[in-house]
Amino acid sequence: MKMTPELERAIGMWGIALCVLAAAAGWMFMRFGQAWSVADLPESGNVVYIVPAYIISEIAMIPLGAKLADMWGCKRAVLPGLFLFVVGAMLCVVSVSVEMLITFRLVMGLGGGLLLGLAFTSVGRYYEKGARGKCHELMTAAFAIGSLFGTAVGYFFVENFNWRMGFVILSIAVMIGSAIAYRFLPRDQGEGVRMDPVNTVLVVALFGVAAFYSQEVNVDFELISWPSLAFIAVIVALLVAAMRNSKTSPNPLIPRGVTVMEKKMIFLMFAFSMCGLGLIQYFFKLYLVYYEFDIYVASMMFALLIAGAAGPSILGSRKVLKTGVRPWIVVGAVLVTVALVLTHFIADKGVAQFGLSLFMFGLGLGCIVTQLIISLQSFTPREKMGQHTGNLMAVRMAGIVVGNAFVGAYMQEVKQSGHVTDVIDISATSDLLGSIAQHILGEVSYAANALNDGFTVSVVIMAVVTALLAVVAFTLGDDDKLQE
Amino acid sequence: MNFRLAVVAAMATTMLLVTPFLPSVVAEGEEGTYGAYHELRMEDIDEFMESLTGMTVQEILDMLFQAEGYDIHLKPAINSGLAVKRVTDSDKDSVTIRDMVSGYLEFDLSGYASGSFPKAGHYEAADGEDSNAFIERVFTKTPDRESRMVDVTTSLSVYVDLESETYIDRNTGEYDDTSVSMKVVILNDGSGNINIQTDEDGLTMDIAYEKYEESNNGYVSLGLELTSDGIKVLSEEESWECRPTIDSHFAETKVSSDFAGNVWTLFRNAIGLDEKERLVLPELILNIIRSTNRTLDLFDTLNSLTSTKFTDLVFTGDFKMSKGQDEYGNEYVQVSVNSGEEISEMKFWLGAYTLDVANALAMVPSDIISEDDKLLFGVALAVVGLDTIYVGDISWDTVTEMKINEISSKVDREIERQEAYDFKMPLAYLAVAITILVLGIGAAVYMWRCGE
Repeated sequence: MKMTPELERAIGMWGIALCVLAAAAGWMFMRFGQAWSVADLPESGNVVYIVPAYIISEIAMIPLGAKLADMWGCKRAVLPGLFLFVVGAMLCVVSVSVEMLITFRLVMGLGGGLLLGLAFTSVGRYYEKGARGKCHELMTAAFAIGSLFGTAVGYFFVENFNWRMGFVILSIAVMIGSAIAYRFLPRDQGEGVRMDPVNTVLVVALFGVAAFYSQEVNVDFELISWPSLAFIAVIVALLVAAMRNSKTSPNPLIPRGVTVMEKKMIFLMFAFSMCGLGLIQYFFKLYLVYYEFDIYVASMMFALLIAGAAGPSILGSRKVLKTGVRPWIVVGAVLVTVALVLTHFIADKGVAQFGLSLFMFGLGLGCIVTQLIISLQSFTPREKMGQHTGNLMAVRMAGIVVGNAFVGAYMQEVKQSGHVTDVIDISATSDLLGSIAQHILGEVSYAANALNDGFTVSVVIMAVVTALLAVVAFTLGDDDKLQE
Repeated sequence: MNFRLAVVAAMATTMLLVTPFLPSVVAEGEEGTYGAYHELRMEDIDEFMESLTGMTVQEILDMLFQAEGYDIHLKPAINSGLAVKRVTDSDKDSVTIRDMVSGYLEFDLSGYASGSFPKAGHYEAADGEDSNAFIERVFTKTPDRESRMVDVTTSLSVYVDLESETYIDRNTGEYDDTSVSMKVVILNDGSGNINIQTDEDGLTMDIAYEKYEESNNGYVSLGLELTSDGIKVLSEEESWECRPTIDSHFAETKVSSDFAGNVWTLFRNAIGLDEKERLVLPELILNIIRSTNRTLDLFDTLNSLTSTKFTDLVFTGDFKMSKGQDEYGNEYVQVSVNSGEEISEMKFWLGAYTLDVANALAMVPSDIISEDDKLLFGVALAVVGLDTIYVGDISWDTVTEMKINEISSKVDREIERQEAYDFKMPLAYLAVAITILVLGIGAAVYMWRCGE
């Protein structure tokens, strides 16, 4: 049976989606595997970098992955991502030290970033503006499932096999996905333009340093400290240098002459990612510590978030160009605000209420993310699809990690400021061992309550910010509406 | 050898060694080197038993373990050593005391027995039958029997190394801080051609005649830093009272998988959990530790899972202090702490001291060592002359110092051998990684060369 070109293209995009799933899972799947790998490898003080190493290089490479799709065409642009991801992952498998594992996670992240940047660009390059909805839905779903369930899947591998197994499975997924994409995607020769090395280095460094800062800020220094300010200064300097260089570059990695609407869209993507997706890790952590330390059940709670997001996302990805993105973002912002307020009042009352707030949260986010990408691509010319899409996706990822860092810094502050040292009075107890054990349990309980307190205040602050974002969204205009 | 018993023995040994040293004191201005050592070998025990009974230990065992229809020969071997050393330095403002304790116990038991053994299979106690009667019935009265010769060897080695450093402020007469590092290694091996498995009550038994080898290695490394405020130890008065605060910071809490289960059982007992109650977070940590054959730091793991540091414990209490002197004229400060209904008493020595092991044993909480076990250990210590050890001035005694160093080096060597990193890359993963690497790179290069 001969397949139609449309079917072949769709199968090829499923291959790309498989790569997105693996690349998204690559970040968090080592979260709890870290403890196992440390137990297996020689001692090192650098274990805290095992998880961040991947996300830093991934975010840095997203704009380049998208740009390669423009330059070489999507089929060829899959190959460097495949190469770096598989080589990095397999070297992680044979790592004999924590430092080796960190280095090769970094290499793996380079590949993951190239694949992510390419994936969302390929939808814009292969589909006409009115037909991108379903495919973007597929990519967003693959990204969400990979990110949200990566931790549980990684835990499953280490619990039942070995921490190395996760790398093997992710590599196989990327190899199969790449092969499917290469076999079925239509010809795409790219635009044949040359890369500007200076601009590329500046943009990659900008996103890399920003991601590095977000991962370091609560680990090696505090948010308000001299190293933190120095980092921010470097990021601002790189941003200014990259933007100035882009104005004169023959072929920049980030777009120039951006319209006011696109600027607002980039800002909204960053802000929503920071306020919304940046919180998700803390939803997970809160559930784990506050309710029950069961990684599988905590991960399954995310199914409610995805269920909430599915409806508006499926509908929105099909209708957004008819209505314009504005109403979706405004409604989404209001729903996220309501969800965050709901979280403040009810999330700590019980698992069902916690699940309800996650569902509402998903409902709001489902109105925003895919619609923004589709809308932006609708007025982007095909030859510049990677430049604009890569920039938007990198900003999105940066927003997630920056939001996460801010929430983390605040949580730490809440924990430290409210902590009262419990003094065990030897004279007043007849069971010293019991008192020590109860003290340790009390500390765990305090950590859970402090996390809950910090979390509820964080969501209120973010609710206020998202309400303001609804106002910004209202000013977007309707230039992206398809003309009847 | 029951590994649980081995762990309890190691914990007991450790507690015995730790308790008398926290904290320790010298008189104002006193400076010197103090030490003692004690070695015990099989020949010493044989000599002791011969003087008492006219028989060697092996002859006694052969006599004790003869049973109807069996010819049993057991050959025990014991090698042990304990070295204690204290070095004190003092200047105008402070006194520094460095204490070191190294101890080892190597016990081997090999034996063989010939006779008419019960056939391999599962045996159960009759109603009302206790475990001793049950064992005796199985081995002497079971009708279904066969002639066999069995041999068994078992060995247990325990190595303990403890070092502490204490600072005393001369101006206030108070303890400043103490750092303690302690390492315990337990090696337990067994082999033979009869494998007998019993349940906890000893009322069921599975006998199999097959070759077996088993090995259990336990490792604990603790680093404790104590910062105290208000423990006055240098005073003109004969007795005084104080209510100090002691901040204890766990710098290291590494345990091997074998030990983790015992630590967790102790924790469960301490908070009064029954068998069915679960605590998910600690059990997850236990799961992580047990899933590897390496050691893991308990507090670090807890921290990585919850992003919260649980390292400091702060204690306070009403301390009554009084000065005293032992029979050799060595001064000490006696500290009494009223803990609930019980009063704990510790002697903090000034310079040379008597290591009162029997008293230290009595102070170990009964959650760790039961009162019955304490009695047993107490008698054993008294028999081998380890219930009290006098740690005198050895500033000019090079022979004793050399002997102490010898014991200490032996313990250090064994602990280092246990700590040596032994990484084994799983070969299956290595093969899978190489295959995927070749396939992945090959596919990428092939597709690149093929072009569009």
